[in-house]
Amino acid sequence: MNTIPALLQAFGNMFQPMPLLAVFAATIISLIVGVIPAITGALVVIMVLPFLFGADPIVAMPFLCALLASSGMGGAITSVLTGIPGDNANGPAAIDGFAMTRQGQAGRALGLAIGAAVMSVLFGVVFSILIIPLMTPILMSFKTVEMLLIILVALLFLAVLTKGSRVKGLISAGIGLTLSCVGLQQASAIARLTFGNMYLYDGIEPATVLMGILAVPTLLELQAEGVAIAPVGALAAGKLIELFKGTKELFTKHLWTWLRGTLIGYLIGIAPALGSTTAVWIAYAQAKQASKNPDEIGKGSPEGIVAPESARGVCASADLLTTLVFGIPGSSIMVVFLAAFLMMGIQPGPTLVIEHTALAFQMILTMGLSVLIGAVICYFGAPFMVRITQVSPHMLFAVLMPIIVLGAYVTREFGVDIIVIGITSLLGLSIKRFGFSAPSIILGFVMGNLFERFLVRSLDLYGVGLFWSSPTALVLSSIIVISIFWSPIKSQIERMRGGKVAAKGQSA
Amino acid sequence: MRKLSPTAWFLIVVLLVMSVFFVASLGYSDIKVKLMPALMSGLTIVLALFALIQDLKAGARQNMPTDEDGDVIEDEKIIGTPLRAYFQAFLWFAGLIALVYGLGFIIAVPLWMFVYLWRHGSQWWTAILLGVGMIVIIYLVFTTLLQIELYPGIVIEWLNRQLNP
Repeated sequence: MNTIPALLQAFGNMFQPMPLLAVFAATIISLIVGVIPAITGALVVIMVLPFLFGADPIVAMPFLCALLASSGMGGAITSVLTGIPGDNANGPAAIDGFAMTRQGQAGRALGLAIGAAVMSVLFGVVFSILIIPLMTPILMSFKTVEMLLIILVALLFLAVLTKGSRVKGLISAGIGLTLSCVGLQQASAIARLTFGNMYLYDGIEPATVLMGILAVPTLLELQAEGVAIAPVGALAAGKLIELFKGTKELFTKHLWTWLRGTLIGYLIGIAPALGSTTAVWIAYAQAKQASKNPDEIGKGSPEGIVAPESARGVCASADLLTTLVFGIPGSSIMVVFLAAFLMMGIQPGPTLVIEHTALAFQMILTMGLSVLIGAVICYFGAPFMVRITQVSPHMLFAVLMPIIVLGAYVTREFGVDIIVIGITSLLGLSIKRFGFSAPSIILGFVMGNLFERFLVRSLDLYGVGLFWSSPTALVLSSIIVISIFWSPIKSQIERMRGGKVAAKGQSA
Repeated sequence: MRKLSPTAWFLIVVLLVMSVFFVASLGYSDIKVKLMPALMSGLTIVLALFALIQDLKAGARQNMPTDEDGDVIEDEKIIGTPLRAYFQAFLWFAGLIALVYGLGFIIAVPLWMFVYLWRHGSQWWTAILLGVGMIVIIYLVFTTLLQIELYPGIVIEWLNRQLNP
């Protein structure tokens, strides 16, 4: 089928009553579940899958796409307002978004987060439609070595920019990477660092680590300080106009940050197996590296919201594209999408684009429609949502702590996860108090398995020559070397300049 | 003997845990199995040792806030929220974990919420209503709607086994 007629047919199908109703329903469902920290969008997609058996693909597939597109937006609201990541991919937004909320800028933070996510999804939709013919060479440039080096770049960016001590940042990344080794190694099925404990065979659950390191210390801090999330009078910051101001700020001040985050998210999204959690942390690390005020990131910087939220938003559409065009799941949630395709008798891969071009376009377009509906709901609902920032800390602690414990349990339904969240919280509290880097630990932990797989494979293929095995690898290796040595060199240059200025001042 | 800073204590714990991981990693025969845990824990040990030496050299004074003249401010209240307040908050959280692990969500959540809210100035009937309301919502969402069985707690499981052998 030709592209233009297929695109027109996709538009026509999308605005038929049943698909439109499905998208609307899925958007509302995904926003609601996205707001609840314990339930992720992926979980909901898995749960609704059996109910879609035998459904018309023109209705069922857009329904799933809308669920996927808007759940992160709901998660961003929770992250910004309470500091609890609604989804694993909302982790960075929970750091800077919540810090802005505590400064009485909840509306601005929400406006930035929603604006960045909507714009990046729309960018992803348009770009995906245009890029389909160019997909093969792009995907082929992502080999094992490049993926390994991308992860290494992100880890180093985050670690070396840890305020106060780069060594503490590197220690944090090391802790995260080591903890990711706990459990059965995927390649060999050998249990490592389990010490005979059957529970540890499945490894440590990422949601438990994320909530223990990011969410619990934040709530403990609120409880210890005994003050509401935002200062008195912060309700005004949640007015619709404040949200619009936040979104306007995105265009006037942070367009480059948004573009960089979006491109990072898209490239990682189309690369198989990396997924949105990787994308957001890499975008966050890059924003910190590129920022004029890197020390502000982590303390309530708009760049710390814009970069990861744009990467998260665009990642889903890129992820979907890889799954549709190549039949290769871009992330774990896309494995569920593959199952959905097969349930409906559709074979994903190059034949899908040839035989079901209109459906492929409709799925991609649906993501854009869903986030637009979601954004309208979020903008008009935000003034009510912001009221949460005025609730007493004791009330928040009482309501949110059981949800966090529940969130740690429901992911795998292991009773021991309830104890593990206590241990990870203690670790989270310690790293917060003693100046270590929470993002580095989390990135190390969530990327550990992939990092190991790529490391072993790259060493097998190239030995230590992996760092210069291709032009892309060489560029990435150079970035790694620069990121390690740039900071000391820069401070040395500044010291020398400072010395010269002082000498001139004295002579004058 | 000089008093160690809290950061130093944390680094010592990191060193001990990572050393255990490193020794355990070396026990695996296949290089592909041991590479990642040994490499990462080994690097972390080296970095933690370096940070610990730096911290010990700088001494505990480095971690204390100073006034305009560079003198250390000894009063912990000036530093910000005292460590004791964090400890108390963590105790409440640990209490919730212990209750849920022992008695399960259905009993632990309303019980903990009642005690916590009542101790923090809420009226007893508000505390009861919120606790019960919370577990009703959790039950409806997770058990009824999502078909997830809530953790029953080891004590309740043990009692069940005793009553229904």
